[in-house]
Amino acid sequence: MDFNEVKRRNHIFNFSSHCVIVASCFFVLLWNCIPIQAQPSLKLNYGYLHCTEMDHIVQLYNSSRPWQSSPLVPITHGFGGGAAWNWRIQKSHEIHLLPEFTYAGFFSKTTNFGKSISAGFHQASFNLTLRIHPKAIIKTVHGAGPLGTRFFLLAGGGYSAFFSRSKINGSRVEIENKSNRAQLSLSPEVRLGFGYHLSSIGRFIVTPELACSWIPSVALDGFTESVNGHNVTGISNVFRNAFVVNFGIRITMIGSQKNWWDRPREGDKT
Amino acid sequence: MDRKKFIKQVGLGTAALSFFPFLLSSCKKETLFSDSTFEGDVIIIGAGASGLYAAYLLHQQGIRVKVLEASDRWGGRIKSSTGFENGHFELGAEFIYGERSIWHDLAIASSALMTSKLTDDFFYFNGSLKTELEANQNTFFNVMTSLTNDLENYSGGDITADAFGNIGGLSPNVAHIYDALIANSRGTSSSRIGMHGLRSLAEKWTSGDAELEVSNRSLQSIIEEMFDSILDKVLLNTPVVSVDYSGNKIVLKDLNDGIYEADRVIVTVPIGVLKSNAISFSPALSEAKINAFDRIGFDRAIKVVFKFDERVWPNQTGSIYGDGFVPEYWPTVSGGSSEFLLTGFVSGEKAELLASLGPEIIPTLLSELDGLLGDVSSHYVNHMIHDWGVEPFIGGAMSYAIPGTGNAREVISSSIAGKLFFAGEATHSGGHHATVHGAMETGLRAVNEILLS
Repeated sequence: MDFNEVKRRNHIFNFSSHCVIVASCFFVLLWNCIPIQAQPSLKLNYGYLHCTEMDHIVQLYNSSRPWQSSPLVPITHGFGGGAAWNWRIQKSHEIHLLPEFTYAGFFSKTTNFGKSISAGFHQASFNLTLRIHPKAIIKTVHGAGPLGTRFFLLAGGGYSAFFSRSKINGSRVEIENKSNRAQLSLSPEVRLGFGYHLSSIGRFIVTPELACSWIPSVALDGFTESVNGHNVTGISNVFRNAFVVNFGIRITMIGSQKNWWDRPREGDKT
Repeated sequence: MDRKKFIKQVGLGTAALSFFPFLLSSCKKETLFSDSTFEGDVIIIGAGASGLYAAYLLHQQGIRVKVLEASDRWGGRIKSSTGFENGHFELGAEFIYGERSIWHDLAIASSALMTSKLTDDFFYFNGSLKTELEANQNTFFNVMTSLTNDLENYSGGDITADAFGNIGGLSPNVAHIYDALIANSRGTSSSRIGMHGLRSLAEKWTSGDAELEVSNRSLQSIIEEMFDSILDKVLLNTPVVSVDYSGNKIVLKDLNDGIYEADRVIVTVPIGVLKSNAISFSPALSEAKINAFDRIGFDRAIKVVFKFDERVWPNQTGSIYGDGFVPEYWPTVSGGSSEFLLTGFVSGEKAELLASLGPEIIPTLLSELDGLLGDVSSHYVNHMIHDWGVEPFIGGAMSYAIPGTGNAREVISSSIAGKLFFAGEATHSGGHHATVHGAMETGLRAVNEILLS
């Protein structure tokens, strides 16, 4: 006699429209990459999350359990990776476009008296990023190599899908039962940063990148409740103005050009 | 700069850059109360789960706190007994509902051994005791279970569960089981509990579905151990009769004319005490608040614990739902007792009826059990009755929603003038009322309001 089966609350508005946007981006990417000469790349990424509401969830958990010697660390660090294609869309100014899929997992975990709890979220993003050297904005650049100038600014945006996940003793917490949909949210994302083509190893170019993403709003229904078991202090499950500072190492495979790195490039002088 | 030097510098820079976030994260606060600047005195009225937990949290933050308890013990509706000598059992709250709660974590921290309540239930109707499998063959039983299991989809008016049962085609043959499932376990009768409250409960519950029993110690001992640091702050036998919050300091007076002053007061007394006006407030509470007290139900409930010389119920029994005075019986494993204990729980109308039997209660119930389980009377050893309706300074079991409860819990829980705060299970508007963890959560809410206001 399960009396407390909880009705799932569907707070995801316009879910289908979000799906349409993401699917459209995906097909645009496919359509563009197949016929053109684009360089594929893989990236390993670390993200530092700043989100006040997200911190409050963990702070509430710790505040209400002072007897626990190992507090739950605020959800801060995320690790992941991504795949992208580098596509030169403007030769004279060396403007490159990177359609990119990325994944990052932000989790925090602690164990007290044999009971473990982990809380966090998965983030899957699709972004379109432009890469350009700052001086190339006003003047032309020639012979900068297949990936453009060594130093570059990046600016872009896209959509991120967030899936919240909490586990107690390894078992997933289900607040909105029967479906995960209510624990999923989609949000636009804006990204600014810079990078540097550091070195080449054969046909691979190593590029460190540093970028900051702004995510205006993410609604992860039931997240506070899944971590704390309640939400008596009224913490919002809508996370506004989340910032993620990403540091990643990208490895791009270039085409047939070998020893590209050793040859002088005009962009190097900048 | 040559290339090697450049790479070395970039490598060092990268390492430093990746270390920086970890430095930043160490600056993040780990608790909500780190920002609190409150330094005043807090008095808590009531030493139940809510009051003790609130006092504990405040004490942890270095706040001067005092708890005024009307009765001669702490724990409120957590009350354990050693009446049968060989172990403890619970006269009040008995189960830990859900594994996602402060109460569950507190129990874990106190090395409580928790086991899930057994789920082989038995139902008495049409003249015999049936297993769930057998009962499911019966159409009337299936109609009844569909009514009790689909509460979150209820879309009608705020009528009683009885009225809902009648509309839904509930058969009188199984009405007593319906009453046990939908109302008795919530401290009342199906003729009193409101459908909107039941729906709200089903919708809002977020603590998990586990129903756990502590098998190696009493719940009261958990409270005493974990809140040991503040038990000396509790003044027992101190019934507060008035609260004057008109001045800068709040002045409280007890029945023995003791006077206490505080900057903030948390009222955690049961809703029955608030309904009875046992505490006068100056200035008087608003009409809305007083009206809200009356929109919360709070009934009599009786627990009867029988001791037998052998197990008189089927092996692995979860609950037994009878058609007599007591709607539900369950074998008791709580508190580590190795005796053969069977607990009966009755609330609301049936509790009032049972109480009226006076000295005939036990013979009547033994006869009832004989009808359910065969000859159990011959194995009877002892019993204990605990009537929460006559418990001093409590006067009932647990709050429940009547038709028309609406937002009463929100109204009750709202603070007054930033000085007077309300907690206790009845003030929980998130679906966890009538539970220990719900009571604790309201204590947390009140502390949060005080420290972060």
